[in-house]
Amino acid sequence: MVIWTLAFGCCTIPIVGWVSDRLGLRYVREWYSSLVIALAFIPYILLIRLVARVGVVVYPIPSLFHSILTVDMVSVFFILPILIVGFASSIYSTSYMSHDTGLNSYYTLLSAMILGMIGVVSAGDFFTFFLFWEVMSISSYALVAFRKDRWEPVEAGFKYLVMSSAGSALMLSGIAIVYGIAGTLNFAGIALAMRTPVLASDPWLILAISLIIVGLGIKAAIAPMHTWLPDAHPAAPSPISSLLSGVMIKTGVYGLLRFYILFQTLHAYWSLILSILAFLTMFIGNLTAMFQTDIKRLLAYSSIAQIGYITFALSIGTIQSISAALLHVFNHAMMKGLLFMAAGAFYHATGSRDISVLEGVGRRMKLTGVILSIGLLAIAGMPGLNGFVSELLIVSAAIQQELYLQAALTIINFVISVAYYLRLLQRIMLKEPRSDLSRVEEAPATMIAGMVILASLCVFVGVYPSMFISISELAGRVALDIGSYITSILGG
Amino acid sequence: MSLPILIQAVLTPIVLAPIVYLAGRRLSHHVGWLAFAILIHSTAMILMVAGSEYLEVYSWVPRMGWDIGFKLDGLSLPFALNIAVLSTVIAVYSIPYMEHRIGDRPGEYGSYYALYLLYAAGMLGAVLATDLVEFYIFYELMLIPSYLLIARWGYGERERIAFMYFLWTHIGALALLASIVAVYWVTGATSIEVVKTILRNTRIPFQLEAGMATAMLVGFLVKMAVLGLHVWLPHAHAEAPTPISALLSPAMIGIGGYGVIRIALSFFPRFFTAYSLPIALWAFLTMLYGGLMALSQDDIKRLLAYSSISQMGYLLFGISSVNMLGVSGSILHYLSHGLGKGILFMIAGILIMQTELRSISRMGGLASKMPLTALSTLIGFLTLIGLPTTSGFISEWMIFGGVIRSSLASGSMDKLIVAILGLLATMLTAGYGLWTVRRVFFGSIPKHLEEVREGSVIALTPIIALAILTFVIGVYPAPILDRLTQTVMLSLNLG
Amino acid sequence: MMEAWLCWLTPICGALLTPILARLGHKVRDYGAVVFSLLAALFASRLIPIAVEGKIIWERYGWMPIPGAPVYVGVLVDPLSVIMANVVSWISFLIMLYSLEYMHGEPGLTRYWFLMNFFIGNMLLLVLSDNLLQMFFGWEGVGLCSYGLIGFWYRDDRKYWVGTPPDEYPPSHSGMKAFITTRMGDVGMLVAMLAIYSYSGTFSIPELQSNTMWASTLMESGLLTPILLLMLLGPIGKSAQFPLHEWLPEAMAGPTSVSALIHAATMVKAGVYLVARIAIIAASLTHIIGFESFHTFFIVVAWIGGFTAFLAATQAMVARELKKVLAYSTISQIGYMMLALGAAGITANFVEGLTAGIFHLVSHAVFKASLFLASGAVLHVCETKYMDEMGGLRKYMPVTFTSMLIAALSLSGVPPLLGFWSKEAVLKVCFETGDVALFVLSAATAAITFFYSLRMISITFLYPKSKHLEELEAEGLHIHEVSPIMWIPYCLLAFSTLILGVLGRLVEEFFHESLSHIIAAGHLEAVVESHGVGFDPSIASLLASVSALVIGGLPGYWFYVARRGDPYSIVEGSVILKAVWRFLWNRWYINRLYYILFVNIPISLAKIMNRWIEVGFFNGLQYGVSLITLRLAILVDRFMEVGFFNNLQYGVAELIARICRSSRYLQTGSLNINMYQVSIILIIILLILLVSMGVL
Repeated sequence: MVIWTLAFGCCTIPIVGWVSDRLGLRYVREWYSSLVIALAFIPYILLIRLVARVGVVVYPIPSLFHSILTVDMVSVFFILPILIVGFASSIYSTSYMSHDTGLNSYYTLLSAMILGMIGVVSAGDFFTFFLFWEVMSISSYALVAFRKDRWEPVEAGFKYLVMSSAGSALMLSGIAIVYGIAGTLNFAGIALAMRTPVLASDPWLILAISLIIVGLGIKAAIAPMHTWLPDAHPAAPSPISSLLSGVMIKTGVYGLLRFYILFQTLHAYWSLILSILAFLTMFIGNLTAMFQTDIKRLLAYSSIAQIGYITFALSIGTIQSISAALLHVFNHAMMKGLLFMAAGAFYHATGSRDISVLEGVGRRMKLTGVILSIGLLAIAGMPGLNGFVSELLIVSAAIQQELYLQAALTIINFVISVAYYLRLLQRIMLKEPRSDLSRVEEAPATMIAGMVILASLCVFVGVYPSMFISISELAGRVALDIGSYITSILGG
Repeated sequence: MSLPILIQAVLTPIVLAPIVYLAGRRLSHHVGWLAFAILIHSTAMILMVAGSEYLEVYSWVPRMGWDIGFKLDGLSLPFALNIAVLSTVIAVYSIPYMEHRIGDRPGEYGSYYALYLLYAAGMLGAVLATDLVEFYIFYELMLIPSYLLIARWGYGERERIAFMYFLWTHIGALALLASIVAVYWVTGATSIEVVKTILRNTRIPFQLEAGMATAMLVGFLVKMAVLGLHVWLPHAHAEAPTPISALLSPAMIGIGGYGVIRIALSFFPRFFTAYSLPIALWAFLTMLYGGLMALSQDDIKRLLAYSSISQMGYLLFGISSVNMLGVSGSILHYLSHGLGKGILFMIAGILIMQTELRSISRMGGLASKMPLTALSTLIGFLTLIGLPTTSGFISEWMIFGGVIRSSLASGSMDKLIVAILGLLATMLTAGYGLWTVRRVFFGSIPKHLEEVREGSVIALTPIIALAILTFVIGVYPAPILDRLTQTVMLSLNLG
Repeated sequence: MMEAWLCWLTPICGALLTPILARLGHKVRDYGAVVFSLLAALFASRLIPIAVEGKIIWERYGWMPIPGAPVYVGVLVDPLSVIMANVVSWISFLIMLYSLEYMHGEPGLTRYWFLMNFFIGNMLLLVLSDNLLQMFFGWEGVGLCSYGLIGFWYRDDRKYWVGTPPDEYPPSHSGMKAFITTRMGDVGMLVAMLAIYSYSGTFSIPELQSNTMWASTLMESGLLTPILLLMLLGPIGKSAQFPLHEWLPEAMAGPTSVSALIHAATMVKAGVYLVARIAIIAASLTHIIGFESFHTFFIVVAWIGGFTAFLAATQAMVARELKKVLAYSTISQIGYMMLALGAAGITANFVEGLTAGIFHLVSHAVFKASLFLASGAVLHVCETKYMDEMGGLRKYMPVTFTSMLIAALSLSGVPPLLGFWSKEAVLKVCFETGDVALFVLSAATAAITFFYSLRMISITFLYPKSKHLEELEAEGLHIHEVSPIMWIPYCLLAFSTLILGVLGRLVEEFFHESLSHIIAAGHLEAVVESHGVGFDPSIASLLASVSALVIGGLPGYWFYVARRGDPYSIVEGSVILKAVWRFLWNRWYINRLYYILFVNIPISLAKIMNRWIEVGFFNGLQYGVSLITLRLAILVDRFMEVGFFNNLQYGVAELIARICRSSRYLQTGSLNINMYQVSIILIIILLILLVSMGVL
């Protein structure tokens, strides 16, 4: 079981770290935590095989309010990027964080955050969901504010903490209302209950849904609830930014998707809200990103825009669109993880995140520069790289539903976004480097290794998307097939 | 499944690009020969199967019905041949040119040639593709390296111009993409052949067809830079490093024309027949406009860039006839324009290398200093002018023959008049072409050019190779025409 | 029919070999080039029996496999093409021989020999080809060579400029002008060819003669005449007929041997040849669609010919440069040929008209080549292009003088020289059309011709020695006769115009006989209709020629030979004459008009468009659009992100802070405002849901 591996990691990392510190062994803690995350792939693969065989795997968590973990294709699909980006950033952190102190807690928090995210996407009831949600959130606050000797991370972390916990609180109240209506916290149970028209048209439900959307929306950074993100993501250490932007905000998306399915009868309204929010998010993300001077802040706004695309795809609500959204979740995790790491590498080397300072740095750090270019081109939707595939699928899903206006708006957004990605690429890669960058050296091997993992996946998915499209389509089909979901959890 | 030959032609440059990059550090400018060898291999692969129709299909994303296929038939042959030959000879030409441009920064040769290979492979892939998605991917793949090449080694405000180039063509590509997606949802297929059959056998509403066709047409015409969608071209072509200009203009923009013929025209013949006259008119205006603009330029590369716009007008003109003669003529014109403009851009490069000048008004009398260059320039322009015995004539008479035939067949006097006007516009080509030759090479030599010498042998050899090719095709076009006309007739169901 | 193929292939191969021969040495290159042209001439003469027997041989091979309408490469050997081929190849050979000496020591001779041989090959290809497309290859090939040779002295040294200031043009400009002007005609020709091809599916001349469908279809749609007229544009350009005649005077910027070969003897005849071909096709179609269908076309041909003849002749009267006189005269004489061919169609007496046209073509080729070569010799010696800087050359260059005199008299149509017979034949068919105006015009032209011939000969040879020559002698230059290798060719030509002139009638008979075979092959029952006005055409034409000689000769003799009056002072003295002189001197202002219309206006238009449309509109548009997008982004950034959201944050914060300052319940700072934002969106979502669900 994936979670147990990580939980084991959480518990042992401090011990290993303490011991190795005592013995004066360097990098043992770092390698150990990477190893733990790597090890989690083994149960993960077993899990996939199991899911592929039985459809939904249910793990009861003993003695906790009948809590269960249910893992279906959707969860499996979400776990994959979490593990990959988690692993990559763990490796990356080895060099990136090497000058920091308090690394024991850093790696512990890192694996706790990964644990939390995996828990969120495999929760089978609201209680478990909320539990892991908080694990994830709390560890991420701490990580954002990890470099607490400077003001910026602390402020950003604080802001993030407040907003996110407010979100949690709102969601909790929503959950409470749902519990009140449906009488159960179990997802399948709720879904079953929602099939009864009386319950489904309960006015309280509307309040509950609004609360849940806002709660999840804050985490997913849907505009106008995105205001924490542009502060928090740049302020966090880069591997954490990768995780935050790459996967953590996607747990909000996962929540939206899961609950969207649960409240079947409310699809139309839910779609309406989501699509309005989606376009608001896209436009604000893209237009604001255009003029950022801070490379990580630019990437942060770009994440907001990408969330907009995903939300839009969710709002369409067909198998094609859901699978497109899922694929884009995966692709964006790879791309954005990669981009933040590359930006981090530049920051690490030059001590600056200001693009005007970083001009031409790609020509001093060729490898990182090339990797950054891959990421930028991928996210700009260049064919042959992964971003193109999922963006194409999103647009085509929209066209299939005859949402021409929306499709056109999305395409316009793609074009706008290309502008700033390309400008960034140009400034980083093509300008003559400033003289004070003359002594900048290539990033250390472990950082490169972390980026190469993600970059190669970007290329692989772009060139050979077949496998991922199949899986995401399967996941999309499973996601919408609420009947079998209920059956396999509740039986008969 | 056939032998993996065409896939080699396309993928070898892509796969070997990183190696070229790495080798560049050690070999400095000699790495150009490595790129040359790789492209020779690709050309040889294409020539190996050029004898008959050849098709390779590899499964790619079976779930979505996407395949990767490579097809060499009479229609793609002239394109593939042109791209392969041009990129091969220009690889050689780049060696002295980039030495001049880059100078003693040996690290950059590797990146230049790696990007160059990717660019060539992208173009080759696009014309050999059998699947819409695959086509689109290659269509965009040629964009990125060319963008980087311009932005890195161009002239003037190269970064802004590269950016503009990218955005324009990318927006065009997105229109194309929208149309591809729509076609996919109408037919449920992405294979060009399958889609064509389905579209031919189902009656879809004309409105829908017109919408899809227009989006597609706009997508391709941005690449072709016809009037109104041409803004990016003069800048990009003028400021790109010259070898790249010599690929952009003769090889790349014509791929828009290939797209129109292979995809748009074969999918939506009804649309093209219905809108034949407006398209012809648009093409004519493009010819006229490009020609007039070329007439007023002083920068030699800019002049050539506008001339390309004008020549793309010819291509579109031939397509607007929607018959075998005109469409075949267009395809052949791609080839002859490629040869002619390839020569001319390389000449422009030689002039830049030898005189450090781009302004025509500051040149003059160079024929005595650089006789071979002068002769090649003349040949290049004569190809564009369409003088018999150059390939330009064969293509031009076919284009205009096609348009005249279609106008006579439809009894449309307007179109006949447009055809005659179009032929009159060729006068402009003669005008700016010969005038340029005269201003650059004839007359007396200004003082500051008295020390100028003939270009290097390595730079001139590719030019002469192309010049010979244009005569060979001009005198004996049968090997290409034979298969071209057959394919055009069969594949487009055109008379 | 190997000879026919070899006839045009040999010079082309010779041309291609020139650069290689040049490696072996100058002598090898020069003599090699001449040998190749001799070979072509020999091959051409091997074809003569065919013309004598009146046979037609047609051979072809596949070339462009266009489905349904393939294009072939072939030769058509019939009396017309054989006559043309022989004229072209033999005169070319003589001129090549002449060039050996004339061009000796010039730089760039490899280019010269290449272009000359290439020209000969293309010209022979043109006359021997069996289809229009292939003919067009030769057609453009000779145009290209002409371009290259006119601009041979591309460095534009002052001494090679042509014209008198301010209308003076450098060679490279003149070459370009020639190419572009003729190209304008070729465009029309191409349209016509392609239209005919669209209807008939073939370019082949014999097939166009035998297959009549295309002509009837074209006639029914009323397109026959327009298309034929478009076709005519090609010959008009190439043969320098009005309105595309303005390039030829400037073509004199090339070496004189080139002027002789290309701009007098051969290339400019290509148009005549093509019109003759059209006439033959028309002749073979008349029994299907009636000769009236071609009436308009032939009237246009005749009038263009007649008018051009007159136009150019008048300009020759005032020209100052020796070569220009000859150039105008060439235009004028070609007009005669066109006139004859046009008359052939008008009267439907094709054989006679064709004979007259071709006869005059041959005779003109002989005497004009001779004239040009001789004038080349004169220029060579005198180092000036102006006639008034020569004078008195009779004493120094007796051979040249005699030869030039004979040729000039032949040009003027003085019996019994060849020119007399051919001109008389032309006047005769012209008379048969019954068009009095045309006849008078052509007779007047004949008179003018004699006048300017006399003027030219006497100013050059009989006037007293000019200052320029005296200066030359003072510089130690010896004015003398040129070497035999130069004078043999033109004396030979002058001699043949004399000999053939004596045999004039027989020559005409021969042409008549052999050309009638072609028309017969086209199944024509000759439709001879007399348009005569009760006058025997032979007598009328004889009368006209003789009186023209008298009318033109007397003043010419009076002013120039006998020098009884000073033409300059007479012109100066009279306002009208001076106006006329200026009108003629300025080439009827046509040249100037063309420069304004086709050079100045397009270039300024292009510049204006570049400024306003390209830079102003398109670039402006693009800048505008990108500017708007950027502004929009900035606006969004400022108003939405900073302005709205942040202001919302700060503004609301301020507001709330103001309200609640006393209570201090809320901390200031953006975070809580973010929270307000969250709450607002919560409420909005709630409202939307409620409204859309119909609860509210």
